[in-house]
Amino acid sequence: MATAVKPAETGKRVEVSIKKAIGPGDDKVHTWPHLVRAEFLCCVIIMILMIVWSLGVDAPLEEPANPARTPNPSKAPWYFLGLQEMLVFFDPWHAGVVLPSFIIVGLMVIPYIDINPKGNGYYCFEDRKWEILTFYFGFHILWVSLIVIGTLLRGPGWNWFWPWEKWDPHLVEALTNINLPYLFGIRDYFWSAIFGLVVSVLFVVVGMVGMYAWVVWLKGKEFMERWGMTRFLITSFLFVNMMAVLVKMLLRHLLNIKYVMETPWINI
Amino acid sequence: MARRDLNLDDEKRSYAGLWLLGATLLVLGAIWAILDDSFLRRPWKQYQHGFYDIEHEREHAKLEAEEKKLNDDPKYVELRKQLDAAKESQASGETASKLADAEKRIAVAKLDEGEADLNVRFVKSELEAAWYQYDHALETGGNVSAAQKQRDELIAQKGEREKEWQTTLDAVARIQAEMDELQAPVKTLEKQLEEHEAERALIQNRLDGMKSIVANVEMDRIATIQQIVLPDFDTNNFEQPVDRVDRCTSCHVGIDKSGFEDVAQPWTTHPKRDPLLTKHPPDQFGCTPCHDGQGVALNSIKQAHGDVRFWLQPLLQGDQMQSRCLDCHRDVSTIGDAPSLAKGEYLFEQLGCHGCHLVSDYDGLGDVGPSLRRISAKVDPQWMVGWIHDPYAFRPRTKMPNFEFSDAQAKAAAAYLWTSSKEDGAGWLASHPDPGGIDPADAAQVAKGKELFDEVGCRACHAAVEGEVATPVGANKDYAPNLARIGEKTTGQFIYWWIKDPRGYNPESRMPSLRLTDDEARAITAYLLSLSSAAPAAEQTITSADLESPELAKEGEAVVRKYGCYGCHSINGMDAESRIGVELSSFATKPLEELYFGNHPEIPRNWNAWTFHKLQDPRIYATEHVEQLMPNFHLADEDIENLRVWLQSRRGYQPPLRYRADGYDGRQERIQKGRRIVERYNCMGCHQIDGRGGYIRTLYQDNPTSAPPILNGEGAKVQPEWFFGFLQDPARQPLRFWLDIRMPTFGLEDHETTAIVDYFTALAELEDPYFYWDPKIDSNPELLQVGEMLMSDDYFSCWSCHVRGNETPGGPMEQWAPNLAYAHERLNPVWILSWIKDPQAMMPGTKMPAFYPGGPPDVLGGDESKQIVAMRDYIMSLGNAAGVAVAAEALAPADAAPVDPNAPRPPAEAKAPGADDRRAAASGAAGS
Repeated sequence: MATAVKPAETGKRVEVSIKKAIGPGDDKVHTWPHLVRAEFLCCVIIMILMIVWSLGVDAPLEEPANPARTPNPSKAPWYFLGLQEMLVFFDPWHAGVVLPSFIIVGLMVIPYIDINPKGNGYYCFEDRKWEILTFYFGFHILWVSLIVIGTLLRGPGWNWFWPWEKWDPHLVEALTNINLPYLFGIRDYFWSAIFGLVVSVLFVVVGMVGMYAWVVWLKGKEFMERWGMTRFLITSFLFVNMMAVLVKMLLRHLLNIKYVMETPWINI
Repeated sequence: MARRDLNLDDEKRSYAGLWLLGATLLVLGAIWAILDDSFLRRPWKQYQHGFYDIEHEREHAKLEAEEKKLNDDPKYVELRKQLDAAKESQASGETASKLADAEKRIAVAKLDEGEADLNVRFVKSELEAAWYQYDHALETGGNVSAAQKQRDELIAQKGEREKEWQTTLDAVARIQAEMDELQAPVKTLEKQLEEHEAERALIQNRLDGMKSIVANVEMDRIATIQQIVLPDFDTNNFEQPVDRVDRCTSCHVGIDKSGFEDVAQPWTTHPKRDPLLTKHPPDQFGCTPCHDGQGVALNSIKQAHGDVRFWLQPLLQGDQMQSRCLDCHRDVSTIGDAPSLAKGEYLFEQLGCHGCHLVSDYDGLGDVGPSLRRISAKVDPQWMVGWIHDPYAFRPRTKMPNFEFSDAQAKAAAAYLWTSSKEDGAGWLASHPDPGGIDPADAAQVAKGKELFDEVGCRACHAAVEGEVATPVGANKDYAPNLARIGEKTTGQFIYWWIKDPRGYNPESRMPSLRLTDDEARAITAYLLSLSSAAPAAEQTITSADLESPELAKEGEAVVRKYGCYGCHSINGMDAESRIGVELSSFATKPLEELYFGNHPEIPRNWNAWTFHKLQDPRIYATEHVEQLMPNFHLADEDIENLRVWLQSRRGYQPPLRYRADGYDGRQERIQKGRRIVERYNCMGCHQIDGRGGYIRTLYQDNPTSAPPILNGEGAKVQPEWFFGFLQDPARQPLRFWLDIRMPTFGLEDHETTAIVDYFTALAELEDPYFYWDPKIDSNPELLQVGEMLMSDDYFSCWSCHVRGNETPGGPMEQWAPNLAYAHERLNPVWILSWIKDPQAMMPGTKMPAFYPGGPPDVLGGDESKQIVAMRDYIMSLGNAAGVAVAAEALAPADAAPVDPNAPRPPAEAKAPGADDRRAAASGAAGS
């Protein structure tokens, strides 16, 4: 076993990773004691932290569960709070089924749509700027921040409370959200749905076309050919949908838009 | 190809400093954990040790005191000296050598005895084997005769050896007797000393018990968690039974030990150990069922007392502890230790809170306000508007709350009530015309009315002077209206017909009929009207015509509906309405976030404060846009606190039946049901029942014998069948016809009467209140003759006070006592026995003389209990249709009623001229 150590020269990375398997023995060190002692030290530090934590903080038990009187706010386990937070902005079907499906499918297709061979077995931002930034945006900005919001900033009635504000179960928030078609003066139910559908489809189409132009402008026609239309379509569809989540959140916060499209079956 | 950089210096760096720091912190962490686990989070250990120290110290002091007492006792010191002397003489001289010799001999004799015993056991064992061989030979066809021979030999041998053994035993016993004789003086003295030292041994025993022994090492008691488990006491939120675990006694070690009343908490003895803990042993009932708090918690006082977030039942403080009594006791009025709770419950029932608020177990109590179905026939229209606007302005102690209506709302509500009752009211008026002859200006009539009002019993419920109180409800309410200003409210015509027959006007009225004659009713009406005749007549600004406007009535209907007037009053057109208030069945468990505090930041955020202010000013939490409807009852602070204690009892759940009081669904239920009726009709206005009430007695302080009888223990005294009939028609039997005050006719429903009878028998804890008495079977003629003789003037002169059929006593009227011709159907024969035996014990202050002990020695061989039985049997035969000849001859039959039930006093009037003296009459009345 050997620890991967950071290469001195970024330019030779691909070469190095290939060489590694047959490389000379003198760029390796022994697991014992070099790795194990560091791991053990970490272990000790974690132990100390755990001891202090467990002695200093009691289990956060609340009153006995009562099915007739559920807690307010009723929160999902922390790792699902991002999903629960999305319910603020979307139809439950969309936030709870469609978007999580996209996330799972998107994570599954990463190996197939990623044709960048660089960065295997070592860490390097320069070589995978686009991939890393996309992941950062999707995971850290969207997913993790939604968890933070859901955990720390949502109080009774799922209302927004800053950390210095007292959770007041009687807080009343004005309910003035409207649908996007309404903003454009459309009052008819049918035409509202049509309008919303057109806007939604247009958003996806324009987004994908724009992304195409952007990629070609950035990487050239040759890259696009190498990437292939199928990979591009999948990637751009997922990317545009991810951005759509952000756009919808902004629409809600800035313009009080409830839904872009409202139908009896699904709202977006 | 370039080699990758490998900084071996990094790998060679020493982490010793980090290791040392880590190891130190780990050790510190371990020490902290031990401290935390043993001391920091175990404050109960210190408390328990603290108590053990006190206990040990006290026991030790007792031991020292006892020792001092013994040493100061000359008898004990003398005994000790004698013992020492005896021991000395036993250990020296001839006795000592004799003893030493005997000891030697007994050792030898015991050896012989042991050997002989062993021989016996061996031969017994061999015999068992021989028996087996013999049986085996029979079974298998072997040599039976040989086996039989051996067996018989062994039997013989066993007899011999047993004889030898007995000889050795005798030898030992002989020597032992010798020794006993030599040691006798010492032993006797030792025994005497032991008697003296018994108390000290007891204390020493207790002291020895205050030690823990671990692996043979004696040490101070080790503190252990003391825990009481109540199986299945609770039901969790998923309907599963769960145990309740209380560890309170881990700190409150002395709570159930007497002698620690003076020490500080947490060691003190329960302040009401007797009766609270004797009736609720902690090992069966724990602590938190009464006190609340977090019984399992031990980490800190705050946690144990449940004074932490998320623990829903923190320790109850002060009177609030009483609230838990209702969990297991259905009727708290009969348990003395919950006065605040009982008063709160009474207020809830009497003020009519149940009219608007549904509370399980408190529905079906009936309206507290009068029926308004014929109100237009009763009141003055202007008065009605003013009354609805502010009842307290007219009658400060009324139970009717102030709805804080605007003038327009009050007038509209009045208009609806007026128009909706117009038809019924007019019909009633037409059939009850002005009787005429009522003149409040006629001084004689008014004086007669006042006399009647004071005498016949009106004042049990009603006062007629402002500021006077008849039967109070709480601190500032009256059970029934004060009549000082009645003339401003209604007419003589109404009062006349109303007092003659209240149920003729309102079939559900609580007001009973006092069986007034026309003239009596006229006089009382004149008196009542005269009370307010001096008041200046109000300027008539609102007439009945004003209230008959349909638009106004429509507006008023909305007001009546919104404010739920029908919660307390029967109102035409409002029969289908339901309660407007919040259900209170589990009000005590309301979480803080469900309590709305309006714009009142100054009110502390807790249930107690919310409830107090709500009751003090029911609309306090209203804001400019949150409306509240509850009217203001102007309750006194103590009433609010009592009501709050009762509200605290509304948890919506109870422990399982087996934890509740005996008879929860039997006797207690009967008491609860009956008490509600007894209180609804205010029986306690006249009668003291179970030690409570009897308010009218304040008017009879000079002559208590003229007051209505005290009914403590009435259930054991009277027969249920008689009681039922009496309540249905009290005038049927003129039991105490010389009294001025009248037992009213309530016109009770049968089920109400039954409930009252059951109430009294349940209070008396009678298992079987019913019986059948037949003089022919239950008694004999000789005994009856003895009884008659004993009661005659030759012995106890019973008839000098007691009325017998239509035979009034020879003595003065103020000595008269109840008619014993009714006893056979009225009195419980068992009760009569104890009554004759000791009347004062049954009813302190009774005029009935006590004849026992001290009965005549010449009757029935002086057997007192037999004499009492004879009199009882005689009393039971009086007027009894099935009675034997001796009784029948002596008396007029009971059904030849001596008086007209409708006119309770004629015989008295016929016979006794001194009407004023009559008040003193019936002390025996109180007695029988």
